[in-house]
Amino acid sequence: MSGLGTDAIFIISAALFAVGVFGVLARRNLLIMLMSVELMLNAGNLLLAGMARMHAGAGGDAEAGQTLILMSMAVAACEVAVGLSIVIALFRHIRSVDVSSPKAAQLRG
Amino acid sequence: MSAILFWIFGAAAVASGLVAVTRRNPVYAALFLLVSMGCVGVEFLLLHSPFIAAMQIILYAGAIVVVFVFVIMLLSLKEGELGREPPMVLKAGAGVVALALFALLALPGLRDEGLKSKLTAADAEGQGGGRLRELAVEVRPADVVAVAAARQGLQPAQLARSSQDRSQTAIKDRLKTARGDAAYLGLELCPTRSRGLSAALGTTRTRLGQLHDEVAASLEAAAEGSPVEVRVAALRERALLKAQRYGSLEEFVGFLYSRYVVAFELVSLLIFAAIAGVVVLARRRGFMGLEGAPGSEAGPQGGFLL
Repeated sequence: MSGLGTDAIFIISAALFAVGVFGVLARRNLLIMLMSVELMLNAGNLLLAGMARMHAGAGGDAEAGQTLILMSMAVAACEVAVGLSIVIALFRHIRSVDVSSPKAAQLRG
Repeated sequence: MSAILFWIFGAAAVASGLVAVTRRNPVYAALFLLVSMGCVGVEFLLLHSPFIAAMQIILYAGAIVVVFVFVIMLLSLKEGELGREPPMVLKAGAGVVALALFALLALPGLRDEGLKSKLTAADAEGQGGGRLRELAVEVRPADVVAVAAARQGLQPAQLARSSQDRSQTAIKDRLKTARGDAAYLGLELCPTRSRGLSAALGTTRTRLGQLHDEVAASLEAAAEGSPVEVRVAALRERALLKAQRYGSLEEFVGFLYSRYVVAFELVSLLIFAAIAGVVVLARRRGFMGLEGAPGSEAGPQGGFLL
């Protein structure tokens, strides 16, 4: 990260995460909420990449950060697949993706 | 230059993410999410991680967002099914929470002086050869012995004979002198898990060349300067090689299938479990006459797949 403001990685990843949190809290469309979760995961991966670079520059291992990013991406893909299949199954029952509808209250445990 | 690009693409990622979560039509949201993923992929490139950038585009933009679009098209949501939006008060509250979270997450990094000083110390040396500055390189003990010998005007073999002592105190003393000698070379020694010592280069490529000349010049009393020259040149070569390999596919695959193979296999198992889960969750009840009533009769009729 030579020449980069060292603040950039923190600010950008925190902002991306905050946007994802806003999306989950302020929307009632289940698909949009899942997309916001993906944004949050992206923010975490970005921060990991920046920290891996800093760690490698300071004398640590260069591999652990990048491997963790790859694992995180694979887990995110699995989670999206399962989450969307749940959306489809739910849609078949209540014919809507609105989580605030009274029909969706069946999901509450 | 890369700082400006980093900020530009970071701002683009955040802005398109914000637009994505505020769209009513989920197709528009998915498209803006695609833009955001692409910008984050460029950011990975700017962080010298080309393999992770490729994975971002392939996995996120090319698989996850595509699956989102598939499901959106499959559901074919009409206007009434999209869902009511929460009242403005709740949205404002969510905005406040998001801002507070942003402050909470960004401030510890911004205020951590220890973390930032590691970078600014490297930046302070100037431009040129910046990538070399940031990467650790393996320093074999033989290198340090060679430099120590040069400083004492000895041949490396003469000094090595005295370092045969393997007792604890002798090793500690040798480590201490090794640190001093490495500091003479402008390196900072840190122990790593691997067998050699690892040195973080604290100087630019040009300054390493100057130090190399200094060390070579100090060998006027010694008959032969070449072992030290070879050692320092080898050090520089290794640093260059490592700088080229950081984040590349070769290096990544090298340790993914050796040190992290268990994690790799576990994630493969997880993907397999996810596939099984998806097939079970999303199948149609009453399909092929299996599984009785609750889904197949009481549910909504009509539609091709539903």
